[in-house]
Amino acid sequence: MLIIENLHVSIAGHTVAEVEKLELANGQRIGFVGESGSGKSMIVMSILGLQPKSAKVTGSIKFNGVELIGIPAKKLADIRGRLIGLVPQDPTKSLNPTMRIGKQIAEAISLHSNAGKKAILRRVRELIDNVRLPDPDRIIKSYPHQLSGGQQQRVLIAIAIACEPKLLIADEPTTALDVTVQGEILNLLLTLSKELDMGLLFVSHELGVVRFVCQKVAVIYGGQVAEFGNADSIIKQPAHRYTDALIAANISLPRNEIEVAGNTNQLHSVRGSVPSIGEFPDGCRYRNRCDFAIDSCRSFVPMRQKDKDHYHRCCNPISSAEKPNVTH
Amino acid sequence: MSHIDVKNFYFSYAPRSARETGIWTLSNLNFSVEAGGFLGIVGESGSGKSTLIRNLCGLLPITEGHVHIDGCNLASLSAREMIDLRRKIQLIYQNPKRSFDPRMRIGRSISQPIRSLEKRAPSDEELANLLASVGLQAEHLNRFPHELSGGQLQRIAIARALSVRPGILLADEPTSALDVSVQAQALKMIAELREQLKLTVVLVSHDLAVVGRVTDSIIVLKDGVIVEAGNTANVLLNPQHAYTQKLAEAAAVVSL
Ligand SMILES: Nc1ncnc2c1ncn2[C@@H]1O[C@H](COP(=O)(O)OP(=O)(O)OP(=O)(O)O)[C@@H](O)[C@H]1O
Ligand SMILES: Nc1ncnc2c1ncn2[C@@H]1O[C@H](COP(=O)(O)OP(=O)(O)OP(=O)(O)O)[C@@H](O)[C@H]1O
Ligand SMILES: [Mg+2]
Ligand SMILES: [Mg+2]
Repeated sequence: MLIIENLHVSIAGHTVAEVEKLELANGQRIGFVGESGSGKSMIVMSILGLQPKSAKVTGSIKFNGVELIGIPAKKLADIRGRLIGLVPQDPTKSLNPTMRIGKQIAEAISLHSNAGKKAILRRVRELIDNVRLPDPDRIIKSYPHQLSGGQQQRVLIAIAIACEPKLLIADEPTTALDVTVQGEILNLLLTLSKELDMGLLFVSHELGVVRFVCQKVAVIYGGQVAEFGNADSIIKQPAHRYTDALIAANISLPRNEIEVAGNTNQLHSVRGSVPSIGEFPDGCRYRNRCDFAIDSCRSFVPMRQKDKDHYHRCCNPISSAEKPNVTH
Repeated sequence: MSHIDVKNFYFSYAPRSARETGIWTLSNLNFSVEAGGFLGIVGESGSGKSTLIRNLCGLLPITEGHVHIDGCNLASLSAREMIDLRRKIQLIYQNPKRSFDPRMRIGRSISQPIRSLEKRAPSDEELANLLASVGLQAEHLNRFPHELSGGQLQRIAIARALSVRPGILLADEPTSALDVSVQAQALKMIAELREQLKLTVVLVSHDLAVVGRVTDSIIVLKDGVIVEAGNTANVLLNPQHAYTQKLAEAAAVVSL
């Protein structure tokens, strides 16, 4: 359904994203993980032509056979919303502060359907209920600032799924939600995906959430796919050193008294920090932060195959004899 | 004497109708935090966590009941005492990007609290020391917010909050906009600074794993009511209320 080939995004001459090949089948769910600044949003936003104005995009992104790169803005706008839904990363920036919530959801519905007023209102209420927002009468009449952070985020999800899209791009859609509401929203996305055969590109920094929702995971670093494979095998048997460090940094639920309270020694982070654009090293993007870097990391690192359906670009990968850094 | 003491506390954004209907945003809250304590507030989205934080630092008026900070009643502070309170209690928000003026260099932003609360201009050395306390260098003072990462900005927000030597730090989801790696750094930093400076900290987070790793007590909010409170290990490992149990189960599903 979605085929990305040789996608290249640059800002002021610096590469910010490059994806050689990524395919999403009907109803398939792929998760994007990686640190802040690794290029996750840049990749997914360029699918919808929503990259920053200063960015230059080349390559090919085909959606059901239609080339999206270079497509006229009007055509793209029609596809977006009707066939591709988007939950953008920043809820407060994405809602119109001067329009009531009910009207904003109704607009999303009427943009692509000619249902009557009554039917639209019914659908608005159904969507509000779908995303587990309480008290629909109040929500409909509220302005964005009168809602809590998590409530705003759910309004955006309602807008994105309003037209039952064929593909949903969700950029950190649950960061502001408590775990029980998050669980319900993730289940909602799963149900939509299964019942309507909706494809999902799901961006998150939480590996546990991605494993719950997606079949496949792409680990993003320096704008590239560093590792790609089935969610379980990526988490249990990572090959790339970056993936391994990312998993070790994950904060898991404390399971006993020792892990509770004040024991911050158990909190790990990936050494160093993500470079700014233009400051990534040549060769392996991660090599200047990696404890296992070797000479060959300095030259171009192609994608290699680890197993069936498991790919990575690491010169000194974790071998099967070695125990991953993973403590979970 | 408790550092923060909340008694028979009620709040509504529409107090008049709340008094008639009995429907409150926050209802009959009772809890206290000892000096040097680390309290976590968890709860449903929309349950009133951010509202409570804004009440604790005087940004929203208390509708009914009492909040005492250091023994002083928040509702009956003089203008002078209010300024003093602003210094004693500092706040960090969820999104570090939005808590900095994009047109202002970091050096200028970070000196604002000292300028407005202590009515003086901090020296360059003082600012450099502040940044050093959160592991950043003096060169960062000349940068603009967009030239820094989210993690760096959140550390600067922490440094800025601590610049006026508050006794209480209120943090509303300080790490949820950050990626896991940076999250660990920011949490470690808050925990370490708390030890060093003997701070009282209140941390709002929807992430049980985060709250569980750093706080020593927890209150659980649902629909504006405290449904469970107690020491962190007890609440997390042996939750009593059905909602807390649901919370712990849901957290386990997405935990690695
Ligand atoms: N409008 C812009 N102009 C210039 N550079 C930008 C712009 N937006 C993003 N960048 C840079 O592009 C790189 C990739 O950013 P991107 O937003 O894709 O990261 P991300 O993986 O989505 O991170 P996060 O988890 O913080 O959302 C970063 O270095 C970022 O600073
Ligand atoms: N300015 C406002 N006017 C009216 N109602 C408001 C206002 N701000 C928040 N509310 C409502 O008060 C309730 C509590 O909101 P609050 O922001 O405190 O929740 P929260 O627990 O912080 O939620 P989240 O986890 O989603 O941030 C919500 O139902 C919200 O819709
Ligand atoms: Mg992003
Ligand atoms: Mg909040």
